[in-house]
Parts: sequence; C-alpha cells; structure tokens
Amino acid sequence: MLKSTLNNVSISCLCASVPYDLRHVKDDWKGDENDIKKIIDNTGVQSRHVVDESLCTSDLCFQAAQKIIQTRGVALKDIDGLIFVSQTPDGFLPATSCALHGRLGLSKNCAVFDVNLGCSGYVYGLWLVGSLINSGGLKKVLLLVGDTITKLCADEDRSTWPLFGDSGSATLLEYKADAGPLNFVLGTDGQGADKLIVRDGGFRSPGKPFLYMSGSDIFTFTIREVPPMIKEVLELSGYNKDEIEYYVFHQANLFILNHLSKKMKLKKDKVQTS
Amino acid sequence: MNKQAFLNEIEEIFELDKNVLTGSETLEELGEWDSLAVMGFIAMVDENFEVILEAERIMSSVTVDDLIALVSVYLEKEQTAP
Repeated sequence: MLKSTLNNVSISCLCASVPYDLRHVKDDWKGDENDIKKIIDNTGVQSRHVVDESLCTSDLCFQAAQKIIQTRGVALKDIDGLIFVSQTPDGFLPATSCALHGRLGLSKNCAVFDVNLGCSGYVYGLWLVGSLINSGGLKKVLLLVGDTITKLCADEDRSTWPLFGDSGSATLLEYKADAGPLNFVLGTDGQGADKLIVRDGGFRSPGKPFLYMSGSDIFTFTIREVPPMIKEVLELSGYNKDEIEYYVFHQANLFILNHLSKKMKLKKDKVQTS
Repeated sequence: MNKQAFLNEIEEIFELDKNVLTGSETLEELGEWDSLAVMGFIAMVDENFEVILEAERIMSSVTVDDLIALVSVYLEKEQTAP
C-alpha cells in the first residue's frame, strides 16, 4: 500500500448538506413486510435522504461551501483551489468544479478541477488537496465531495436502493505551519472494476446509465483489504487501536460494519453507524 | 469445527430448524440464496476459519455439499487433530 504523511495542512472546517426528502426503505420496496424487515435488520438502514430530479450533487456541495464561506468569513479572493470529487457531475463538460467556481464567485487565481472517484473519494480528496497545500502551491482550498447516486439506482434493485442516499459536503483545508501530520494509506484494485459499475451512458457503451453492485464481492473486498490498511495507518501514525476515539468507515451496511468490528476487535461504541 | 457444526451454521443462515440438513439439499430449495445469505456465509466462514472465500465460488454452489466442499480442508484438519 502507498503510505503518505502530510505536514502543514489544517482541516479548518467541514460542512455537509442533504436534501429534505427522507425516504423509508418500505416506501421504495414493493416486497412483503418480512422481506423489508430482513433488509432493514441486516443493513441497519431504515431511511435515506434522496434528491428529486431538480437537484444535482453540485447544488448540495454549493450549499455546503456557501455555509463555510459565510460562517467562517472566508474572503473569496483567498480561496486558491477548488476540487470537486464525484461520480455524479452535472454533465460531461464543463467540469462541474468550474461551474461551481463561477457560482461561488471565486477569484480567477484559482486551480480548479474534477476528480472521478466514489467510495474512496473523500479520503483521496483529502490526500490530494493536502498534497497540493503541502507542496506549497496552494494556501486555502475547498474540497467538495458528494454524490446523488440514487439517480443511478434502478427501481427495486435491492442491492443498491435500500443502501444508497444522496449528500454533498464541503471541507476547507488551509496551509498552517504548525498543523499536525495527516497520515494516509492508499491503494487501488482495478481487477474489481466490474463489481461496482455504471456500464452504460458513456462513450464505450451509450445508453441509460444505472448502477450495478455485486454486494457479496464488495463485502469480500472490504473484509480482505480494510483490516490490513487500518493496521498500516495505525503503525504509520504511531497509535495503537484503542487510542483511536472513533472509526468512521465509508460503509452504510450494518452487517459489514459489525463483521469488520469483530474481525479487527474494535469496541462497538467506537465504530460509527448511520 | 466438524461437519455437523458447520451444517448447523448453514441452518442458522437459512433460518431453519437445527439438525435438519444432511448436505444433499439444493440451496434453491432451502430459501433465497441471495447476496444477504451469501454475505452471511462468507462472514461465518471468515469467523470460524479466518478464510475469505471468493463470492463467485459460493454463488456457483448448487447444493449444501458444494458449500461444505469449499471448506472441507479446514473441517478435516480439525477432525484429525489430536
């Protein structure tokens, strides 16, 4: 695994936004009640925030970014970077980050681009922005991460519908000379590309896009790859596992979280569930 | 873990009564062999044997005996241990 330690980078502020519409699993699932109960008991997800057709990821991220700018009193001219990490952009072009740059009224002296990543997107985004700041290039950067993935979920696909919700976030990262180190362990397994995929709707296969997920393959991948990565990042940081206050996994499924906790011998109250 | 204890674990995944499985049953006749059940099976094997089976091998299993075959090496080891 790739290990990286970044200094002089401060995570100054984080804001997240969700759409108002809260949908219960039973609202979407046409199966019998026992079936719904089984899914809810297993996944732990009873309801999710879901966008309507009019809202895009960029709208949710825009709200979150505005909140940070207003509440923190950030001068727009001081923001010299904006990175948008998402797999549900407004369209093919322009880059959604550029459109957001315009909507937010940022200065032209600003490095702006999109990154196409999903589950790993927030961690990769932190590492990427941290690297840009650590190198001395940028001083104050907005990292906007989110997805409106429910727009890609096929009706009644029980491997995706009961689990996925929509959200946008904004994080302000700044150069700060005395900021503590940020430690990352990163990796990639491209062999699994067809296990979580939107096959259609691009240039190789035009058509209506929808999300396919092989839940059992994702589970296998998770329990195989995550525990050693946690071990590595703890070693890199010089902490033992009990010194960590919270473990926040990018995983909604309670069954997977419980198995991970048991496998890594983590105390249950330290593992965040949604 | 011996074969009988393993069968009992499979009974739990399918929410069946204890000691009803012999091994010759098809997974189809036991209930829904869906991703929730497959994940339950993967977790059970990982917990008991610290082995992570590939989902594809499990999905292509037809009978309970096919599932036993996936872990037979570990079952036998325990049976022959002093």
